[in-house]
Amino acid sequence: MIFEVKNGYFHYPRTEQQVLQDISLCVGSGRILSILGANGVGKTTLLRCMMGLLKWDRGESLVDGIPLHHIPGRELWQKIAYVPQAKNSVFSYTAKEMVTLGRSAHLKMFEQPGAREHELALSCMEAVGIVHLRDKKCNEMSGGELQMVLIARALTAEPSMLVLDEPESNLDFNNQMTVLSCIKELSCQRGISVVINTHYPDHALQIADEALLLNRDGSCEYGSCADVITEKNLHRTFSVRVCIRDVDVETQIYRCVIPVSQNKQSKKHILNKA
Amino acid sequence: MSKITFGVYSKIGLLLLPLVAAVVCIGIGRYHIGIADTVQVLLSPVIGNLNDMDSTQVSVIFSVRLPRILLAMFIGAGLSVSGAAFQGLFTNPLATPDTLGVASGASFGAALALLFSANLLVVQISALAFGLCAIMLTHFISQQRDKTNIVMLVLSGMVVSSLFQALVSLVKYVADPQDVLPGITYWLMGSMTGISYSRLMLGIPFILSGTLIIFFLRWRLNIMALSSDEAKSLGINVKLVRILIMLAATFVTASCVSMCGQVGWVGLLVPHISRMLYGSNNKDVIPVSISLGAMFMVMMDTAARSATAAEIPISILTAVIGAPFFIALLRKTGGARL
Repeated sequence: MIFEVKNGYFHYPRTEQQVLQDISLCVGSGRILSILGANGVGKTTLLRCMMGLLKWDRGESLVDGIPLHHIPGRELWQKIAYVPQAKNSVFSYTAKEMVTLGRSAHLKMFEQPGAREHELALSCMEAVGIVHLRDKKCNEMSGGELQMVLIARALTAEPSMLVLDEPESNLDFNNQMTVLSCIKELSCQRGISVVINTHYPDHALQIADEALLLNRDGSCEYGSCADVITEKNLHRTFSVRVCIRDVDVETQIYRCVIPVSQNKQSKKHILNKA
Repeated sequence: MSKITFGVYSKIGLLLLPLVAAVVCIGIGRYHIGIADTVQVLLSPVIGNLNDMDSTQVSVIFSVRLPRILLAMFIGAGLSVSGAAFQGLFTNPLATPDTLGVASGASFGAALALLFSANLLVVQISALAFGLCAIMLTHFISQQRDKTNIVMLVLSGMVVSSLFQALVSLVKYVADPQDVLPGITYWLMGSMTGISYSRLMLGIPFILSGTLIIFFLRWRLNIMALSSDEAKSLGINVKLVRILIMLAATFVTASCVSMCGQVGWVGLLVPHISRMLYGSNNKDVIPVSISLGAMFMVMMDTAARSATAAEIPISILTAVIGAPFFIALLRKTGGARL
C-alpha cells in the first residue's frame, strides 16, 4: 500500500494559528516514517488529519492514489490501524477481549466475533509476545503491557499500515526496545507501512527509513532519515543545541543524539568563579 | 474477583433461570398453587386437556397471574438491558435510565397523556418522545468540546431529571383530584396490577425490539467505551451505533415507564451484579442482565403482591431490597468497574 499526503493544511476552528502547513509525505509498503517535533507542535494532530479523524483545511490524504474520503469507513480501517497513546485505561476488559476488538472493521454491524476472531487475536498476541497477559485486566496493566496490547489490537485488523502515537513514551529502556524491535520486525516481515510519532530522534535513526520534522510554524522538513535528522535541523526544531555521535558497540554502530546545554558560556563562568 | 467461564451450561442456566422463577412465582399468592399443579395448568393448552383442570386454578393462572408475570419479566429485562446499554455507551457506571433523566422524561410524557386520558398507544408514544427529549438534553448539556466526563453527565442527568419531575408535579397539580390524580400518582409509584393481554401486546413489541437491537450490538458497545478516535479507528460508525443504542434504550425505558410507572434501581443494580459475576465484556453483560433482570423483577413483583395483604408499590420494594443488597455486593467485591 502507498499512503500519501499532498499539501495538507490544518488549523483548529476558532484559532488563528496554522498548526500544519503544506505537509506532503509518502509512505510505501514496508517503510517506516517517523514524525518528530517539540511538545504541542501538532504531531498527534498530524496523525489525526492523515487518517481522516480530522479534516484537512486544504490538501488531501491518498491511499493507493484514492482520496481518503472516497473510501468507506470500514474498508479504510481494514487497511489502516491506529495505536493511540496508552493512557491508563479505566476498562476492566481482559487483554484478549481488548485485542479482539481490533477485528471490528472486518465484522458487519450486528456480527459478533467468533472462533476465527479469537484465534486471530491470540496469534497476534503471540506475535508481539504477550500471550501470558491474555486474562489480565487492562486497568491493572503497566504502561508497557498496555502498549503491547494496543499494538496487538491493531494487528488483529490485519492492516497494511500502522499508525502509532508515541508508542515508546513513558516506557523503560527494556520496554522501549521491545516496542521498537516489534515495530521493525512487523514492517520487515509483513511489509506493513508504519507511521510513528516519537520524541526520540535516536529511535527514529534506529528504525525509520524516512523522517518528518515538524516546526513550530507548521512547516516541516521531510526526507530520508539521515538527511533530515541533522544537528542543524534538530537545533532549529527543538531550539536546543544537539550533537549526533556514533557509538561503537561490538560490531554495530549506534547513532546517538545528545542534547547539549545551551548555556555553556554561563556554566563556564560559574566554574571559573568557583 | 473470579470470572465464571461463559460456557454452554452457563448459557442454558441463564435461559432457564427466569423461567423457573416465573413458574415458582405464579403459584405464590393469596390463592396458593403448588409447582406441580402450576406446570400442569401451564402446559394444558399445549397438551389439550385444559378442560380437565381445576377451573379456579386455570382462571387464576391465565387471567390474573400470567400476564402480570410476563409483564414483570419484560420490565425487568428491559430496564436492566437499557441500564447496561447506557452505562456502556456513556462509559459511566452511574448512567441509568433514572440518573440520565430518561425515566423522568418518559414519566412526564406518560403523565401528560394520562391527563388527557388518552389510550395506551398515545401514552407510549408520548413517553417515548419525552424520554428522547430528556436523553438528548442530558447528552447536550454534558458535552464540552466533544468530551463528556462522568461527573458532568450525572449532574446534567440530575438537572434534567428534576426538571421533568417538576413538570410531572405540574401535571399532578392540574389533574382532577377526584379521578385522574389518584390514577397518575399510583401509576407513578409503579404497579403491575390490572395488566391485560391487550395492554401487554401494546407495550411488549417496543421492549422486545429495543432489547434485541441492544443484544445484537452488544459487542460494539465495548468499543463505544473507548475514546472516540479509537472507536472510529476500529472501523465502526460511531455516530450511527451511538444513536441506535440510545434510541433502543430510550424506547425500552419509555415503554416500561408507560406500562408500570417509574421503577427505579433495576437499571443500576442488575448490570452491576452481572459485571461482578462475569466481568465487563458487554458481550456477556447484556445477556446476563436480561436474564437476571427478568428474574429479579418477577421475584420483586411477587413479593410486592403477596408479602402483605395490601399491595406494595414495586418501586418502594426495589429500593428497599435493592439498595442494601447492592451495598453488600459492593463492599464484598470492591465494585466492578466498567
